[in-house]
Amino acid sequence: MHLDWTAIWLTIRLAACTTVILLIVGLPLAYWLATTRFRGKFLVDATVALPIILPPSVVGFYILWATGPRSPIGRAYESVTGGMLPFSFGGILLASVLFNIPFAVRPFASAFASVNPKLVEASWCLGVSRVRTFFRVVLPLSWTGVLTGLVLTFAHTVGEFGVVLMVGGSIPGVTRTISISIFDDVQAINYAAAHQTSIVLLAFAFTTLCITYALQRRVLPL
Amino acid sequence: MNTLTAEIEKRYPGGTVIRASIDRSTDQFSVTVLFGPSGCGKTTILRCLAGLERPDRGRIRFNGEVWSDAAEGVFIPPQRRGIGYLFQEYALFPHLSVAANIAYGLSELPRRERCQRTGELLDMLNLTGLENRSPGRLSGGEQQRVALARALAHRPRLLLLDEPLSALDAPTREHLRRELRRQLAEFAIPCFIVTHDRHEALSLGDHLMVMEQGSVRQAGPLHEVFSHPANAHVAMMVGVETILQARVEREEGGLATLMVEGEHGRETQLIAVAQAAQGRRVFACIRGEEVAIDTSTQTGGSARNHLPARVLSMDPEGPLVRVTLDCGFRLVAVITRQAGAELGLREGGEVIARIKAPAIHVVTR
Repeated sequence: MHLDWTAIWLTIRLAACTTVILLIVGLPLAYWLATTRFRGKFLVDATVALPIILPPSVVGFYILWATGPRSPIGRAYESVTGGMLPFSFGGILLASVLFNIPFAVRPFASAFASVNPKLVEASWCLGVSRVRTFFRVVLPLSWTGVLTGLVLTFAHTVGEFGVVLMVGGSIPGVTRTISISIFDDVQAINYAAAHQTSIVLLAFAFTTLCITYALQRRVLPL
Repeated sequence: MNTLTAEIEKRYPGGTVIRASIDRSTDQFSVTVLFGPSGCGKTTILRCLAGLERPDRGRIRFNGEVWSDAAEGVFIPPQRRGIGYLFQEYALFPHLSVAANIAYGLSELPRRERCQRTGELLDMLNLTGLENRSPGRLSGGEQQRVALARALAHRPRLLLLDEPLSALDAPTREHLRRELRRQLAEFAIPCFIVTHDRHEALSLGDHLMVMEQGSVRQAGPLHEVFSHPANAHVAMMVGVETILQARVEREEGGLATLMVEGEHGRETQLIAVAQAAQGRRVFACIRGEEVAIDTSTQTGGSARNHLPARVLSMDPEGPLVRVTLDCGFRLVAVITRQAGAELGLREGGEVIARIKAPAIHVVTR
């Protein structure tokens, strides 16, 4: 087997970083969405769900446009780090975080919404703060949903193609992930290599989905 | 003197407005019952006291602290009010054991003290042996006691109970109604209880606030509100019946002899079906429909209680007449107009009121 280990390692790093960032950012956002009585919530809901139906090329294009060297974000990034976001690991990480928000936040939010709000109020009445109540009551009762969100995010990042290609191009060891390596192999008419990488990705995706559905149906003894 | 004073107004989209004013002493144990049909706003008032709802107007003061003042923008969250709240369905944490549920609010205390306090409550509420059970494997009555223990564990200054017994099956409810008042008295914390059940109100309360359609219709000492409803509306809600304060003289084979304290200090004897210990103070409830009126003094027949009475007033209500009698205490009978005419009833007339023993409902305190 001649697997592209550089691409695999890069993909795992990208997926892991995306998942961790979305865990930190997504939990509070999802909890807010699940509990708020704010009237404009539908706007936030719609924004969060956008990447599900928007073509990756559109998301990629806007990220390029917003982070390019002439944009305020691009200039600020350059003055702090000395580098550029497009065609760098930081750029594809930003892109995959933005693109994966719904895959993390929606399962989180639906898990939080299924926790009986009376339990949360009971905790408040016992003198426990909102933040501690989240960790002592809400999270223990909704962790399968949170785990589902994390698994989906990780898997979706591994399989991401369009956004990464738009924002990162195909620089080996920097932005060339597994799916892009397959694309390059096919372009180079190297079908054997494309086959090998594809079968690995297929097995991974199938396993991940099996775990997700088993978790949701509580088949796994977790 | 310590008091809880509150002026609460809560508005809901759609035009529903809920208002109440409360002024209760908090120095000693007393139970205030918020009573009314479902949807009348009583739970909203309880939630405003807890800090789970934010009133749109008015203020709440507890022992000199301002808990909420809409005009000043003051709002103390439930965490800092020092209250205990018992939820209707108990809201026990399903992922924690009975002991961990009770100790949940005590995480600031050192371990030893936490265990000691949990143990005390398990003991007082008869839960010893269930420490490691999960809430899902408890009976309704046990869940209620765990929820009560949990609410009491952090020594609240005010206890709020939302329909504490309504999630239970009828026999358990009957039994726990008597238990709950005793348990609450033991902890000596002022309580507010929301209920729609008049027998619950009667057996648990000291003070009654009758609510309907978002406002308080009448408030006062329990017995007073029940026996002297301010208007026909309140009378309908609390039920057209006579409620008497009585003492159990003796009890034999399920038949109790009650002594009713009359209005002129005279005591009248009643026979009722009840299992209550001698000397217990009880309420005897008699529905107007269950009282028969007769002019002959002849005894016998199936009724156990024959009370010589004088007719105080007669109020026609459609095909019926509400007859208020004085038989040492005030007793209301509801009879048909025809019966009234045949008996030749008139105000001031002498009659005999007959009540069957099982028609007297005894509520123990």
